[in-house]
Amino acid sequence: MYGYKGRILYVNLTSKKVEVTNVSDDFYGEYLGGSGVAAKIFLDHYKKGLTYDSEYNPIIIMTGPMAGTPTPSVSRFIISSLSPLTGIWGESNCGGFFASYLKFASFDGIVITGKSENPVYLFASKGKAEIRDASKLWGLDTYKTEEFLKKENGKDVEVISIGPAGENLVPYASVVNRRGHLAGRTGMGVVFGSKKLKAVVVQGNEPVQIAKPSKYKEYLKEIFEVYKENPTMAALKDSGSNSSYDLSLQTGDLPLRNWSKGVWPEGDFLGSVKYKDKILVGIETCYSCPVACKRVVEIKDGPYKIEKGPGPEYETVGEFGGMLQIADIEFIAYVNDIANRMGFDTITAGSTIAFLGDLHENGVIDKSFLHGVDLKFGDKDAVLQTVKSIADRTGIGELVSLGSERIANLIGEKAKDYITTVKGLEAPMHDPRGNFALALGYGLSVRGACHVSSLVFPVSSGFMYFPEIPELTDFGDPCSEKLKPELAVKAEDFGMFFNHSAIWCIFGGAALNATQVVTLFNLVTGFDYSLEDILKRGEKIWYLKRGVDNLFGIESKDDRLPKKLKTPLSEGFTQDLAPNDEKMLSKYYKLRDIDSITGKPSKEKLVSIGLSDLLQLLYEG
Amino acid sequence: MVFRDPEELKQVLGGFFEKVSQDKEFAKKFAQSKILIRFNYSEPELSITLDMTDGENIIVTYNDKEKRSEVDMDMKADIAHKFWLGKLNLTMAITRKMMIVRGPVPRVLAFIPVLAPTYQMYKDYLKEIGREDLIEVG
Ligand code: SF4
Repeated sequence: MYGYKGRILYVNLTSKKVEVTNVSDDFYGEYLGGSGVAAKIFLDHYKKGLTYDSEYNPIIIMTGPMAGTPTPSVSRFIISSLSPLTGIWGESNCGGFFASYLKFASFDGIVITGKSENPVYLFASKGKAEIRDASKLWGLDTYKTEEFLKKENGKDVEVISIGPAGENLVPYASVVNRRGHLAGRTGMGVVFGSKKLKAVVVQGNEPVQIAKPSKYKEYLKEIFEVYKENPTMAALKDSGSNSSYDLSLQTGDLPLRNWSKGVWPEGDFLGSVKYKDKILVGIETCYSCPVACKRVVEIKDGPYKIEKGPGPEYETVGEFGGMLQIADIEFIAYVNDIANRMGFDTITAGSTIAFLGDLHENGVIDKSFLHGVDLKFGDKDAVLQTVKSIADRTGIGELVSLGSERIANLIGEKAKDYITTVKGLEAPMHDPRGNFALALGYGLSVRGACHVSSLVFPVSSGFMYFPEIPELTDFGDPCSEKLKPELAVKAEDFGMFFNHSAIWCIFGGAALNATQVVTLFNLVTGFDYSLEDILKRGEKIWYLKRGVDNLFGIESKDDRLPKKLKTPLSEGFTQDLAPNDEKMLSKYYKLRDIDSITGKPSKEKLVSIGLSDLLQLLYEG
Repeated sequence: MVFRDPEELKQVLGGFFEKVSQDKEFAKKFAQSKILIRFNYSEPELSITLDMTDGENIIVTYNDKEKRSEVDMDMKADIAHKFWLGKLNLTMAITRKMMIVRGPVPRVLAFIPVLAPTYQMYKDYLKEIGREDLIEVG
């Protein structure tokens, strides 16, 4: 088999059974890889009443066919499961080196069910695997865990692990590779924790076979030239994901003070210049990526002293800077270090703290609700005290660890005006008030508010360009509803292939157009797909995930933005602007053949795209 | 085309840069980059060079072939106008090659934080020279 290894490892932590299943070309040809394959496997595991901590809830770790090849920016993996945070389809995507090594160990993916009584880790090497004791590791942070496992198994292994946040079932716990590569969103680390699975270790050196090696080699030369000439890649190399910070702040893309302000002059202190001056000491990359956007930082002295390690990404700078109104890059790097070690998502954590700060400022809650912490915007000490208590869930940490939606449910109706979630997931650091397409991007994202769940944001923000797909080329004024539903449909269909199944990085992948990625995919796998073929498969994968959400109770009412994200601001670049999501959604449902009340795809649609198994579950129970 | 001919482009956009260069405090902020940047406009054709190498001042020259630029930015004059009005999606313009950057991108990145106030300055300037009509054209 080319690209793929044709083998998925199945592990049951209750029975301790480890099995390898061979996968056919036809199956991969249909579901492509990554989260396309994961969604199909998840559906096959679906049982009514499934909860995140049920032993049947699978953790599905999947790579794409390009992982482990020299193709740039695509050696990534996804982790999927029922999300502990949102109760629907959970999915998180991660770079680093783990995906390649999983392929070198002779597996495309791992499916883990069951629950262990004692802490364990999984060791997979050369087509075999075993479950090993991890009692000594329980309680360690992700940095120490990885260090220990490398000592125990040799330097040539790759590790993903959870920290104390995952062990203590913080609903937005993450899974971490090499300290700074995180599968951060939707709480995949909690599913690990609930199964007492501390880590997965992979080792191997079996190369990935390329279907057309000489043509691939030639084509790759062209592709590397594309990377060299691309100014966006140069910006990413120079300043990482935070290279977009200054522009985001200026154009109203960066939410401020829990999405309530449009101007923040102090925010200038968090841009790429200050980042470099104050904390940057090096750069890192993911397997076979010439972009090297990962930052290495160090703070030698002062209250926020940290050893050399991964630096904060744009999203973290946005959350702990703009959202919480703290213009101190050293502070943010310090918080980032805690989150990486403890293993939790800085987007949900930052948004939840900002949400509480907003409620507090507006008198909806008082200090006693906050366990005595005087949480205010701009108050570094209070924010730090809060962050430090998340992983062990003590004091205010017990509250913040719930995430904003559960807290809002505790408070009741009054909290609804302050919340920033869609389908239970906090919106990231991009504002739909200056980019109306994003209202659909967030609203329809299958994992809850997310800017990379489809290509709506990367395309509408101008970061990506696929001139081969008309709907992704001409989509009108950013602040009009016109043509946005059409954009959303194609951005979802192509995105299911691009950054979900083939798993191109949303940053590094932006150097390429649709022809280039499809050509690379064909040269590696030996498939001979046209862009049309790819879009058709992407469409099927999207409906599959949407259907999974419907199985867990998602209806069309859940596709709306929260009030906070569609209330116009009285100042700044996006002053007086806000998207009308109702208008866009009604057109969108028609295009998708989705019922505007139940939110389910029609039976006819499901039959026409070959999802009769989903139809049965959705309509016949 | 927003600008009829090179003369009009020089008068409006060139005039704007000259005005910015006269604002000592603002010019200093701009010039902190110590960059020599050249904008090569087409439709109509004109190149404007901003020399900020002394770290204090902005020296504006036109069709200057003497000075060696560190960064060159090529674009249609319409795109430039839209940019200074704050109506251009800069990321999209670069991705779609409506704006071509030649030279070290980090030098351009460092420039972005000081740009924010200039959008309003450009609008005010257009009003000042009696060219409000151009505000809507962008
Ligand atoms: S662009 Fe950055 S995050 Fe993406 S693969 Fe490359 S180094 Fe990793």
